[in-house]
Amino acid sequence: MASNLPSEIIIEICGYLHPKDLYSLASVSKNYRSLLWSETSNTTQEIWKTSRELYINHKTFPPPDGMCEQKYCWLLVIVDECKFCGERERFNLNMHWEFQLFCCWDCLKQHSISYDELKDKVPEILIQCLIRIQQPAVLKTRRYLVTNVFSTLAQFYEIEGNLDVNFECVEYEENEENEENVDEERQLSKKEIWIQQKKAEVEMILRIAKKYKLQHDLVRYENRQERIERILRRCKYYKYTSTLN
Amino acid sequence: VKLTSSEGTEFIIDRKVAEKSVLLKNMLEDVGESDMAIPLPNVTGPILNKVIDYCTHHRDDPFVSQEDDSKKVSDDIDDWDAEFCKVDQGTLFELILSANYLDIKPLLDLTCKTVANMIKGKTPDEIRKTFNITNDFTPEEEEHVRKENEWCEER
Repeated sequence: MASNLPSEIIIEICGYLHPKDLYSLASVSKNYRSLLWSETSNTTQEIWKTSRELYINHKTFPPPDGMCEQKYCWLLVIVDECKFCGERERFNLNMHWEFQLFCCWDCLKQHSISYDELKDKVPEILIQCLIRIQQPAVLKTRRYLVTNVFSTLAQFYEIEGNLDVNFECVEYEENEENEENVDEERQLSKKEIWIQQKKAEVEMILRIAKKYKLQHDLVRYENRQERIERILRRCKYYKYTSTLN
Repeated sequence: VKLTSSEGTEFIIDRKVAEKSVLLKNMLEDVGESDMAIPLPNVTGPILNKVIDYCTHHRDDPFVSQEDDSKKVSDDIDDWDAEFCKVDQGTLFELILSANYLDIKPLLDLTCKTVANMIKGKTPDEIRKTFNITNDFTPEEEEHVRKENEWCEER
């Protein structure tokens, strides 16, 4: 099919396909890959956009800034298993849009750390630079995704000029302010700027995530009954495992 | 109106049937009434025969404007059209190409929908089997595709 049909015809055919089918077609051969998986090609983006607008029943926002159409469609309707363990039972799975992460509740727990565990190791000011897990709302304590903790701290240490990432290093940071050394001051202000930027960035991520998460749930769980059932099950699950929180 | 297929076979059809094709319609308007056969070097006899069948069956359909793709669904194919599309893949693709060349939008839509329906709900491997496409990824590339598909790159 690839060899004897011109791409304008293939594009025409794609106009009748659901994002899930485009996703399969994109893995068929190199030809289809290049047509359907480019993040920069307008043609590719148009094909996915058309499919999203026609076949996703719920009216959707344009993708968030910087996200290509195929990833957007993937998050909204295609991904169907836990990123960590491959679990597919839809009631156990949840989208965490702040991390663009689809996973099951158990894996989320395993891959996250609570505020209480974190507070002795990381100064409060840096905890504020982390992306807090938004769901479930019934979670009693604040939790953070371990990968996010590491990547954020790594970024912080990079400005500090200390690439050796371990939690203890951070503790002297607060005493530094007393020192008169010009070099230190320059370093500090750089860090302060970073912290401020990071906090603003996190706030922005959370704001955008809230909007898209809401939309995601409406798109993925079209049926109201299912949405209610999800909430009930989640409450039950957290009541049952509340000692682990 | 006289048409000649690529092998030189002549077909005589009503003007109304011929005008289903925007290409022929424009040509006929340009040259006016003429006994000259219109050569169609891109279309073979058997395919042209099928195309004429389609145009004859749909001769009285209203003309649908190009912009009207508000509802692009592929499950609105009626029985006659479905039967019409029960041909081997080679013929189906020839029909698509001819519909494209002759600019017969409803036939192009019908045939594209038919192909789309053959893709729907299938895994990449099933699509390959259906259309006889060779998997030209090396195992490394396949692994790369799999990672890309899951957006596995660390961020």
